[in-house]
Amino acid sequence: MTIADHDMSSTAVESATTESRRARFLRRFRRQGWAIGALVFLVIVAISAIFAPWVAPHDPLSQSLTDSFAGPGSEYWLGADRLGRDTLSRLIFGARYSLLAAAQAVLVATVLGVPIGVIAGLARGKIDAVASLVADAVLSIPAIVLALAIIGVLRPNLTNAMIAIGIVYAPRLFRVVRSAAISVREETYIDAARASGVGMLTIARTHVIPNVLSPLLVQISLALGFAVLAEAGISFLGLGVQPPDASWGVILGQGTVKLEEQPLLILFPGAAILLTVLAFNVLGDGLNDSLGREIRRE
Amino acid sequence: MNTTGSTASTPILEVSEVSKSFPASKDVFGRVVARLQAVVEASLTINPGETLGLVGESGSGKSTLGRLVMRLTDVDAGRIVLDGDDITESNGPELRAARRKMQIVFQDPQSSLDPNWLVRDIIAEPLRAYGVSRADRLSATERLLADVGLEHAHGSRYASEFSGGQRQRVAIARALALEPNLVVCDEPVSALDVSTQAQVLSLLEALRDRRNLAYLFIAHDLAVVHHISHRIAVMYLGRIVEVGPADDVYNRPRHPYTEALLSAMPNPKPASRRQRILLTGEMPSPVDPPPGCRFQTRCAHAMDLCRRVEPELVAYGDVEVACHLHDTGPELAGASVTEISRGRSAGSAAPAS
Amino acid sequence: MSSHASSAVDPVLQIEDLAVEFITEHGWLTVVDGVSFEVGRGETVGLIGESGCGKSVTAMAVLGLIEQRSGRVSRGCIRLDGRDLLALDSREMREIRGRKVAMVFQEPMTSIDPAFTVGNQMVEVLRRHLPMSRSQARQRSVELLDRVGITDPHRRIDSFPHELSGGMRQRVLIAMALSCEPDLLIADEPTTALDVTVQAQVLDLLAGLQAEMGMAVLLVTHDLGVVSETCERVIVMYAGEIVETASTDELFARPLHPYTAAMLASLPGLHPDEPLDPIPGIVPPRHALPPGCWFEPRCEHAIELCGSGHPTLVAVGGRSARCLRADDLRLPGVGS
Repeated sequence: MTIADHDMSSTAVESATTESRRARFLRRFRRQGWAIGALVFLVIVAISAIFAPWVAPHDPLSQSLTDSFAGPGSEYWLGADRLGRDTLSRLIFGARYSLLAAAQAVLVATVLGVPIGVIAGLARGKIDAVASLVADAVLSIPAIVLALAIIGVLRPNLTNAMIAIGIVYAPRLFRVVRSAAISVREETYIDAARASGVGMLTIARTHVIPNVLSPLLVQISLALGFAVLAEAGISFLGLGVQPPDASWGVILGQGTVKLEEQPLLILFPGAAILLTVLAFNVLGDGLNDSLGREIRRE
Repeated sequence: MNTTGSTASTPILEVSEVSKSFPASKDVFGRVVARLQAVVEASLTINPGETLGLVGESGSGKSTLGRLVMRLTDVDAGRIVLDGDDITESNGPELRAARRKMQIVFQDPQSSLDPNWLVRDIIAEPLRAYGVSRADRLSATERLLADVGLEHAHGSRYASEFSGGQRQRVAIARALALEPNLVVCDEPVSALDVSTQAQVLSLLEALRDRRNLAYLFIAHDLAVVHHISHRIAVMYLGRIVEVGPADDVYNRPRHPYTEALLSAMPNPKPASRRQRILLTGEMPSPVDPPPGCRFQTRCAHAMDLCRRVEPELVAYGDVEVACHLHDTGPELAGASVTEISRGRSAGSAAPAS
Repeated sequence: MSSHASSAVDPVLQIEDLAVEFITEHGWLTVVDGVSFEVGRGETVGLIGESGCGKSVTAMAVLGLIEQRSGRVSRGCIRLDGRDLLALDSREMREIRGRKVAMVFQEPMTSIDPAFTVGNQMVEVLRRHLPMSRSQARQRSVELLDRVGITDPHRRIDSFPHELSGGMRQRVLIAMALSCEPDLLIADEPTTALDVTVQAQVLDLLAGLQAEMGMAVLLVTHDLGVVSETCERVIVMYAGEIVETASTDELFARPLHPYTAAMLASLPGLHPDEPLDPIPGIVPPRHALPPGCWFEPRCEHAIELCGSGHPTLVAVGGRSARCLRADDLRLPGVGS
């Protein structure tokens, strides 16, 4: 038996799927019509928020009492509020606060949840036991209640509130990452790497994190939706963004004051919140379906 | 086939009296109340260029022994000496240095290759761990791909695109990257089809001969082990019960368990079929092994002595065997089980005639 | 259908020109193509080949389990005791499964519901097919467990599957499969997950039960050793079609198809002192089959003609082979 025979023996590579993982993800994601719609919507919202001064038709703060409670029309597409401020422009600027706040919360949750999750999943034993116990304890606190408590101790401030939301959300990311890390740890390629003298930190970085990425992405999308909703709730109660600045929650809250005179004032901010939260959730589901394992047949 | 590697040089691996147990159950306070004895006082020696086959059924402890040798699991007792260096307690840089000399190939090629990595990166991973430069890694990877019968283009693919046999070639290439002297092969062909199995076995043989590799070849298939090994060790319930030159163990088994294992192998060649010895009952639990010889509960030859005293591994010429049958008479010590049972029945019949 | 070795005297199972397709990324692909054979009453037939050759799919088709795996039977006919199985609706097929034809799979753990005791599941199978009271069914289950060599069946009947060893689970599965005394037992790699000594026990048990109950057995396996020790006839499949059929003794002594001979040459242990002779390359994928004989690219006996026309299964003295050179080749078997 010579080596040459072996060369021959594997020349016919199984022609199965030669597409890369990215190509496979794109192929599968393309079939998710709703998720693509959600992504497009979110991108439009994000771009308008970033370029708000150029996109918004009016200055969101300029008042015009003559236009108080103006209905939707050519001047004010979505109408105006009690002070005659353009609702559309306020919503566009409000998106800045809402999305930024959501991003803050999710960043905090990720920074806390992911590294601890990877370490707990890989290390097992006492570290895992303690981390899981803390996570369960934090998870039992209702997010909004903790946020309100922190605001009560400090002062009404959106950043503090969103850090609180992030802390309460961190255990969810921790759990997802930990269980993904545990299942990766059982794979023999981790043993193979250890046997080749690769250190544990390198293993975490090169083998575990990439495998954790897919479920994490799904969770982050869902977390963003949750954070947008939480921000709206806190600001609605007047404990987040302080007027005259306005997030969607603030706009919604102010709209309720004169609900009987102009019900449209809560319809539009409400719709903005609803659609954005929904979009994050639909996107999360779509990512889940296109990143998850493909069911293969023999 | 049966040419044992030179015995004059230092063995590449010496395992002496190694034991390992795992907690099997705990009480409500988390204290361990029962332990599973995976490996009990196992000793092995492998010379450079030699292949030692390690056979046994599930629960025999053969894979645990492989992991102990690789230091993937810590031993409870005993010593592991690799190429003259005691690595039993090694850690950190010392262990990293030792790992250049020994590598492992696992059974399941599905799970032993990271699906997110390109084949080229998988093969280069050990090199990267030892700080080999990028250029050297690339050239080494190309050489390794060719050595295991893969092509340049295969390097830029994901392992999930390959068949089982090709994945196992990738795993072998990775194991050879650091140019080790010893490769632990943990059931490397068990998950493969007959024809692929033959391809991978031939590859392992060719590589061994070219690189003077020593293998600890762990498998449950005696035909495979007999084919590739110079010597064979048989494990039962955590203990090594027989070790010897491959042909000796295969053709003249000294331990009743080895004999039963050989006779249970389905054999497509009618003429060489052995008298089948059906073992009764199940393998006892390694949490609660029987007293005396571990095989006595299922052994057709078990004597009173076997139920009381655990037999030691005793050398008879090239073969070592742990069985009281060989104590029964000096003329039968070291004979095969068949010869012993023939001898005993002749002996017991003698006074009558 | 010509009358070669794939036909039986008193057939329980008759498969004619069976083709099965599965939907894949390359569209509908034929995975089993033109398979015809028969299994006689009380006979043990081995269906062998390497993974992906279509042997398990053929077995699934007999059990009517193709549709739930997003495949379809695109052609052919499957008759059990003369009754066309493909014409049955799913309710009638459920009636047949377990009663007339039973199955034992490779992985005993996944074939038993982990949430119910052994007894619960056996009683359910019995009562689904036979008019029995709960206590009668339980009594029968204990007898069956005893028959398949489970010690202390009165206690074991209340065990959960995870409390049993792999060998015992496979015995329980056999007991369940045989509970309604089927005419045909399909065993798909029944001992592949087991240790050799346990495998020997289980094969011995199966042979004993078959002799006692007179059922036919279709043994699907990749293990040539198991086939040679248990089967009377063997059907060899390659890339979705039958390439050779013969009695076991003839097949191993003198294979007619180069693929069969090459598989035998790949076995370690037959000629321990000679190097192995592996088959080069891999099975061609279904969507890129060669134009001529499907084994031609890997065949050391291929001639020019083999690359052009796809050969048919030809009867050669009571057996059959799909090889142009079946008559003139003298291929080595395992010898004696």
